[in-house]
Amino acid sequence: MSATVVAVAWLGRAQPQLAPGAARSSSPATNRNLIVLDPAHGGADSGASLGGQSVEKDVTLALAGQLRGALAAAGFSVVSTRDSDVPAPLTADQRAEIANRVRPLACIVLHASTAGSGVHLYASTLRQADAQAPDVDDDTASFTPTPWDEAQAAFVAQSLTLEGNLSAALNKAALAAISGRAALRPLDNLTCPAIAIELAPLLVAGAEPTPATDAGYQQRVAASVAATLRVWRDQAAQESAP
Amino acid sequence: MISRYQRILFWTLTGGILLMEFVLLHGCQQAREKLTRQRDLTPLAAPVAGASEMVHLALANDADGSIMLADRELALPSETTARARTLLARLIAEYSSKGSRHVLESGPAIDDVFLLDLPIRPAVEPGSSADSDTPEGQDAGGDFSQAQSEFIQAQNAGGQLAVINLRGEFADHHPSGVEAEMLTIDSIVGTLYANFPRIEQVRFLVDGQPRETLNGHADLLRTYAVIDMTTNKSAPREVQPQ
Repeated sequence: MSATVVAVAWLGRAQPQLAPGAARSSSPATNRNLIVLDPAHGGADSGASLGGQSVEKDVTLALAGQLRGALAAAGFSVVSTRDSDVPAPLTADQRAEIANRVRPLACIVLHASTAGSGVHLYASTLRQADAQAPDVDDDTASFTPTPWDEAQAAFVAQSLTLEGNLSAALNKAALAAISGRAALRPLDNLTCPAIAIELAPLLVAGAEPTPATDAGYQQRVAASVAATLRVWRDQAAQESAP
Repeated sequence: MISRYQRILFWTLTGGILLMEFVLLHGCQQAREKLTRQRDLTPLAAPVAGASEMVHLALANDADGSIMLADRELALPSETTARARTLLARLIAEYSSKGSRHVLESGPAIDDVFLLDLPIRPAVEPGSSADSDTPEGQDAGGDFSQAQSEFIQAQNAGGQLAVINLRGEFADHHPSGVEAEMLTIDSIVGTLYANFPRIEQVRFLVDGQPRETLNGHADLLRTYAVIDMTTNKSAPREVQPQ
């Protein structure tokens, strides 16, 4: 946990860069090389039982470790809401606060399950915000507060685009992605493009299902996600270029 | 003098006795829990003698995360809330039947359904008004008091809010996972949409109390908009304040 706190403090001093769409909406600047990972559950909250002794909180942590390595190799900095199975994990609101403070390029919430098959991708169920964010430099603009439970609304369009990109990359890697939208905390509280990834057993015709606990399976998913985010970052750089 | 092999035999037998005792107690406890879960199957409503009618169930499929409509012949009570409860009970029963593509544990799931006419406004305490004792910060925030007084709005005249009270045993034993939980909620919302045109929004309670999640994932504290789940594969949207 201390590593996370240090990372947050360091990133708070880092010179921010513009995110995709930031120039258009005058939203606060984004750390374009930063990804926030949120391995769900922890402590007394074990999450789903994945068969045998495996529980969801351990699998999400393992997947976060795989993703951290793949993202670092792609040149990203990573902030994780937990690095170990701490006895008192952060609440959903606290995890969203960590992510929102560092203004990452994207937030990835990690889950695992035995239900269904392949990789499940979820974006927020919120409707996209109708109005653009007010210009932060305009003193005459009226102050319109954003409810905490609808913080993601301004980023839903970007989240859906990222979800589509991830789905295409995972399907191309024969990882059977299913896309949808979910009422899942803390997705709605995040002020960044945010996706929840749920790892389910991978079914391959004529072979035994690969469980979510399989390290090779996790590594393939992590590699696809990191590659997609690298392209996402490059596109953001092109959009914000003069 | 007791020989060594006799001592070993004695302690082995003692260990065996303790182990068997532990297994026996554990088995008894599990059997008691199972019986406790299933004992409350007593019907509370009188049997319906009316003619069967065609109803539409929005059935979930774990394999591809889809919701498909299926027609069933079912005898329903005439009273609307009883109809809704009976219909949802039938929906959940479908999931515990053989061949279900979204397997749930058998047993009672829906405790009650309440239908409330919209809009719903919270009670205003005597002496308080929007113009008095309002902090300046709230005025600057763009009419917070108005947003709070119009708590839940109707989308159309005559719209209703359905409050579904789930049983705690159902929530506790529901398969844990984002997809599994969201599909159950989607299925309930989709079934209400297909059979009760006046119901616009849905809220959930568990044993009469608000609960954060169904079983660790899907948010139960929000209001869900009732939409056609079969054509819109996304999860139900959260209703945003007007």
